[in-house]
Amino acid sequence: MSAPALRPSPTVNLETAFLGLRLENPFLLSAAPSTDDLDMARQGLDAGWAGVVLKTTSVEGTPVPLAYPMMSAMEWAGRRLVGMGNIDLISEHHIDAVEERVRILTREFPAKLIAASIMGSRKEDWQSLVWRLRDAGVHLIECSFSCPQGSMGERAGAMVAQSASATEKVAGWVKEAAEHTPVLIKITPQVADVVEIARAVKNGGADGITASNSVPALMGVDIDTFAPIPSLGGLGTYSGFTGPAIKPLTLRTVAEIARHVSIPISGNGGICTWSDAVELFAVGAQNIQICSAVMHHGFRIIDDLKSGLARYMERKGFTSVSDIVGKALPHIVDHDELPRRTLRSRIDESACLRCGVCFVACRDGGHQAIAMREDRLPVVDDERCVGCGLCPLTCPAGCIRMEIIP
Amino acid sequence: MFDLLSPHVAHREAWRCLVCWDAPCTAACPVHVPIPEFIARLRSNDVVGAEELVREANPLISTCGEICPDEQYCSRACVLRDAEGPIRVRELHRFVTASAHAPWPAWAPSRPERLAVVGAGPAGIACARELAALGWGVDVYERDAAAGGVVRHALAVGRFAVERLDSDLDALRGAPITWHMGHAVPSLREILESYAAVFYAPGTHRDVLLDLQGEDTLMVSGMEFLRGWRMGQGLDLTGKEVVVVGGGNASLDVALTACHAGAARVVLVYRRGPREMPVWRRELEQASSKGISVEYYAHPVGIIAEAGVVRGLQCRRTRLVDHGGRRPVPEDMEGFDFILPADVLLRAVGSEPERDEDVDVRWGSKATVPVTEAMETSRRGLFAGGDLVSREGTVVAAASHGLRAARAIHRMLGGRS
Repeated sequence: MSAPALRPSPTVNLETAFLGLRLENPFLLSAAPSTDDLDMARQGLDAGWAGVVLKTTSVEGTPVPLAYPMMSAMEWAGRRLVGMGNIDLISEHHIDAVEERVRILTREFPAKLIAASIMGSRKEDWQSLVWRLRDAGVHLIECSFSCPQGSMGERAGAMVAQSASATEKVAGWVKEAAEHTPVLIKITPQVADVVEIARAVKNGGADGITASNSVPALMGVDIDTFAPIPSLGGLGTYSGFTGPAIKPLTLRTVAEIARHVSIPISGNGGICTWSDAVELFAVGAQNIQICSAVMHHGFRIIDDLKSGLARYMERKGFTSVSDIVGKALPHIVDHDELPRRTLRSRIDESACLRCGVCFVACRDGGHQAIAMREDRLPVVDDERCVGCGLCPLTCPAGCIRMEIIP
Repeated sequence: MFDLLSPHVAHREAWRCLVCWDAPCTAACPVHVPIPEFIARLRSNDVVGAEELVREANPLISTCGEICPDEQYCSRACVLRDAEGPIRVRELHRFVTASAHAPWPAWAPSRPERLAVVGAGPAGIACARELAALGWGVDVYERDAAAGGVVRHALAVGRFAVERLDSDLDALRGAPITWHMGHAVPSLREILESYAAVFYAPGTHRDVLLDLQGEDTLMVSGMEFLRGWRMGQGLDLTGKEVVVVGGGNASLDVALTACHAGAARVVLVYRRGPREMPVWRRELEQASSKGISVEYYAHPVGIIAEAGVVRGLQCRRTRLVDHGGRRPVPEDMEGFDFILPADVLLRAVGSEPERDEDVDVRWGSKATVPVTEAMETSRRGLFAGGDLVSREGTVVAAASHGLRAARAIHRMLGGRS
């Protein structure tokens, strides 16, 4: 018998439902390299992930001309992977292999969600993919309308999800074939109006949205050779940008959809920790798909995701993930609806390191409201301070806060 | 010595720096290396630019990168010291010097009149570099055959790679500096008569004595011992029991070199306690890791010898008495004598300058020459630096003397900076 825990683990139930499917927790492995191999999918599920979305597949014969290296990083301040870039394509395993995996995984992991992602071009491609998966017993079908590379949109190089009409049309084909199997449409954040796309998804009859795919980006330029990054013999192309850096984009995309369209959302893009996940729930996502954080730190991050979320829910008195979904939405308003208040910067001298970083920031990027005293302590001039809130962000000791002046 | 930081670790460490607005680290550095500025260049991967900044401020960049006691200067002033540990400035400095070598810009043609520097230790080297950079021709006079002073001759074997010093000297190739090396230095009076300004930094070469009977024949000068080893012909101590009398950093160098020389046991004798010991903690830790033990509160009172062969050192236990002075004074405890067995006795309690009585210059207490902020002595035109003016005893402090004097001389002679 194992020793009793000093403190009992949270007893909150993380079980949740999505499109009528039961999830043992709200964390799924998204369609990506980590789900492109049967054994890897097994390991992820064994580690505690509630389900997998098998990497995007297509009909037999669709060429998948991968080019290496495909990965790149946004580095900043000595941190290696603030953001991640890839020029990956869909899976090299076509529908035959994926269909077989669906059969195996649904049999081996009856309590897990086994989903598959597909991409096609012609109606018959999309529909045949759906039929194959449906017959194999897949729980959910996700359609990639938004792969930054090799996507099959209305015109070359464009994604399906960059056109509302294409989105609606293809979503309709897929749903028609899927019948009772739930269908998710994975969209891109790179559109003029994501709400319009979300409406198209709904009008096409799909059951939900995965928001959102990687962000088309140029990861960098080698300043010696002027080759894009990643460079493949001096040539490069745009990458799909993911990882911690894109979380704010995902939050905004999901919030916009949730505020304007009534459709279930699976959140995806830049989520690394349980608290990131809570934020995405709060703006309307019902569950979370993760890829980059797993590619960096491994399947094992599920431990922290689950225990951190449970502890948080216990502390806040939430009994179900659905209690959190949308909690932030009533707080998101347009700029003209914001309250106008008077704030002033307040510095806790006892914790101040006396580095003067706040002083420089305010001097050169604010309102010259901070002066440095002889003893190197920063002092706020209330007459000059407008309450912009820059200084607390720069403080390495975290000893500055903004006070509301009645 | 530590391994050089890898580029990635150096980069991360550079990003840990807060870039304080007024850089307390720079203020604490005797030569005021613009630390946040060079770290900023390191962050942006402009390593050559970083090296340029450090070299401009410190002519002994490679040397200091290896041996500067940053715990006494920049790291001590770092605002992160108590919060999460100071930025490893010296390690970054060392990374910069090891990774890049900015070419020194072409030396400006120098003025016809020449200036003199006496002593080619750290102070003299720095002064000559700065005078040359300011456009003066410089004559350096040095008794030794190679420049470097204590850095070359009086650091523990293994503590410092002389290649670092040589690399600093290499950077002065092409400078309008004439090195008069390996000959008796002309008298200070003669030099003063021939030059409009003189920087005098001859170092300290006379051993401070312990005043023990038989000391002159039975004790070995630590300074000479070190010099011998650094010149590659040191005294072999294989299997010997060695007692070093000292307490400062120089005595640690002597003790470490005694280990290197094969001593079976090395004991350092010090009059005060561990807290009073004026050494860099890092050096002390290194010494104890080599098995060197310290006999604290011990005052040597006699040499035990038989037929001219050393057998031991008789010491008297001391205790510290606070007389309200700067630090407590050790007083002998009569009747508490003991003998440390020894085959070899090394003396390293300090050294003093040799006074040139021929030149009228005011001397201060503790055998130092008082100087102004600009390093000028009581005699107009005679500037001094290095161990002659202060026993701070670091390369970077000596370099700061040379730099300050050079700039003052330049101003005195009407040069514009």
